Amino acid sequence: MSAVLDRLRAPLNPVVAGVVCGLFLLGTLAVMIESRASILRDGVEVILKSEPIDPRDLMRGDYVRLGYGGGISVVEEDLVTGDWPKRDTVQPIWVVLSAGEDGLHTAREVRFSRPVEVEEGDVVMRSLPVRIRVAGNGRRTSVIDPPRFGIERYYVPEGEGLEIEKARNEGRTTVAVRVSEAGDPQIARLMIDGETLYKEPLY
Amino acid sequence: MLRKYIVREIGHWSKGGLLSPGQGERLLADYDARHTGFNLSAVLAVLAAVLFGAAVIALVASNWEIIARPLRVLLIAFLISVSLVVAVISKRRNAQWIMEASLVTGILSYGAGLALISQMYHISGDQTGFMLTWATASLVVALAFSSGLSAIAAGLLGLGLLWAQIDMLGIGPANTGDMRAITITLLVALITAIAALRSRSIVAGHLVVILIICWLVWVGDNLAGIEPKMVLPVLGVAALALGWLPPAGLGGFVERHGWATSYGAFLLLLGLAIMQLNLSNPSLLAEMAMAAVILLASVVLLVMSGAHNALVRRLAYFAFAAETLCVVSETLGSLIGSSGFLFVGGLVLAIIAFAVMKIEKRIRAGGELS
Repeated sequence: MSAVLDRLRAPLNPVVAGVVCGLFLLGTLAVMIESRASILRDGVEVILKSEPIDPRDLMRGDYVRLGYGGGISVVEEDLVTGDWPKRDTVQPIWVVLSAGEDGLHTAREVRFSRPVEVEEGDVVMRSLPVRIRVAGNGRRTSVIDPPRFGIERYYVPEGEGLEIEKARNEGRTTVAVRVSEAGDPQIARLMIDGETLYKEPLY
Repeated sequence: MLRKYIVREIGHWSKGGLLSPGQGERLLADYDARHTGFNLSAVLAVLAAVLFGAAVIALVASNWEIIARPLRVLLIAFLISVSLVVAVISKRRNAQWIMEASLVTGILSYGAGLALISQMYHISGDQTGFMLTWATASLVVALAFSSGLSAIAAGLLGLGLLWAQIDMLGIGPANTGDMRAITITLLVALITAIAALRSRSIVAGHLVVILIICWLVWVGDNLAGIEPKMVLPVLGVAALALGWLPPAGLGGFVERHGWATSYGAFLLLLGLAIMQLNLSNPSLLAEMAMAAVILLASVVLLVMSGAHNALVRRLAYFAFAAETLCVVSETLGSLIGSSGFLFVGGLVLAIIAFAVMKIEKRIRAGGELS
C-alpha cells in the first residue's frame, strides 16, 4: 500500500504539469466554442415562435427566458409517434419540426428514440432529459413534463432584457435556431416583428 | 495556533526536566521545518486568489459590451495561462502556497470561461455538463501539480455535479436507463480521492467521503427505491466495521477507531434518528423498541470506540441523552405535566452528566497508564 501511495505521490515535472494543464484547459474551451460555432455555421435553420412563459444567473448574468409555441415547450401527447416507454423514466425526446405556411416551425411528431428517416424539409431536434410518466398506477393518461432544449435562455447586456420581454409577452418575438445533424439546437438570431434584433456572430 | 500550544507545552516540559536542555529547541525546529505551510501570508494569498477569480466571473456575468466577445475569450485564456505559468515557476522554487493560490485563480478563470461560452451561445439547462467539465479540469490541475486546493475545488465541484444531477433526474425512482449519468459522479469522486491522496489533502479526503455518502443515498433512492433512512444505518454499520477491524492491506490508511469509525457512528445514529422521527402512528411498544435500539447503539459505540475516539464519545453521549429525554417524555410526559417533565428531565440529564464525568475521568486515567 505504501509503495502504491509513494508512486501515487511521485511529483510531476512542473513544466510538464503546466503544459498538460494548459493544453487541457484551453483546449476544452476551444473545442466547446468550435462545436457551437459549427452548429451556427452548418446547422439547418428553423424559425420558432417565442411565447410568454426574470431572472439573473449568478455566473452568467442577465437573461431573458424563452418558451416556444407550436407544441415544442409544451408537448401535445397525441403527437407521440411510436411506443411509449414501459415505465416512468427520465430521457431525451426527439421532436420532428416542420414549417407552416407562415414560415414558423411547429412540432409534427414526438418520438422517444431518434427517427431514422424524416420527410424532406423536416428537422429533428433533441431535448434534454425530461421526466416521462406513463399511464397506470392510478394515472389515466401518459404525460411528458415540459421539455427543455438548451435554448430557453437569451443572455443580454445588463439592463437590456426588458424590451425583449415586453415584445415576447405581446407575442411578437421569433427565434431563428440552427439545428445540428445530431439534433442539438443553437440560437442564431432573435427577431421582433420579423426584424433581427440580435444576430449571433460565429465567435 | 498549534505552534503556540506546542511552544507552551515544550516550555513546560523543559522546566519540569522532562526534556534535556536543547531538546525542546530541536523539537521546535523539526516542527517548523515540516510545517512551513499554513501561515497568514499563505491564507491571504489564497483569499486574494479566490477574490480575483470571483471578480473574473462577475466580469463575465455583467456581459459587458465594451469588450468585444473574442477579446473576452482571449482575456480568459490569458488569465488561465498566466496562472499556470506562475504555478510552474513557484513550484520549481518550492513556494507551495503561491502555487496553490495561482492554481485557484486558474480554476476559477476556467469556470468563468465556461460561463462565458454558455453566455455567448445562449446555452441553457447544461448544469450537469458545466459542473462535470469544471470538475474534470480541476482534477487535471490537482493531479498534475499535486495541488491540495485544486483537489478541494474538485471535491466541491463534484458535490455541485451531484446536485445538478439530482436537479435534473429528481428524487425518487427515475428508472433512467442512462447509467452513465449516475456512474460519472462516482468516477469523479474516486479520481478526487486519488488527487486527495496525491496531494495529502485531508479536507479533500473528507469531501470525497461526503460526496460518496450523498451519492450512495441518492442512488439507493433513485435506482433501487431504498429510502435514505435505510441506507444511512447500513452505511454506518459498514463504516464502523471498517473502523473496528481495518483490513491489513490498507497499510494504516484506515486506522483503528479513526475517521471511518467517526463517520460510521454519525451515519448510524443519524439513520436511526430519522427512522424514529418517521415512525408513523407507532404503538408505545414500537417506540420503546426503537428507543432501546438507539440507547443500545450509543452504549455499544461508547464501549467499543469511546476510549479511543473523542468524537464518537461525544456523539454517543448526545444520542444517549437525547434518547433518554425522549423516553421520559413519551412515558411520563402526559402523567407529570410540563413542569414535572422539566424537573425529571433535568434530573435525568444531571445523572447522565455525572456518568459522563466518571467515564471521562476513567478514560483519562487509562490514557495515562497506557
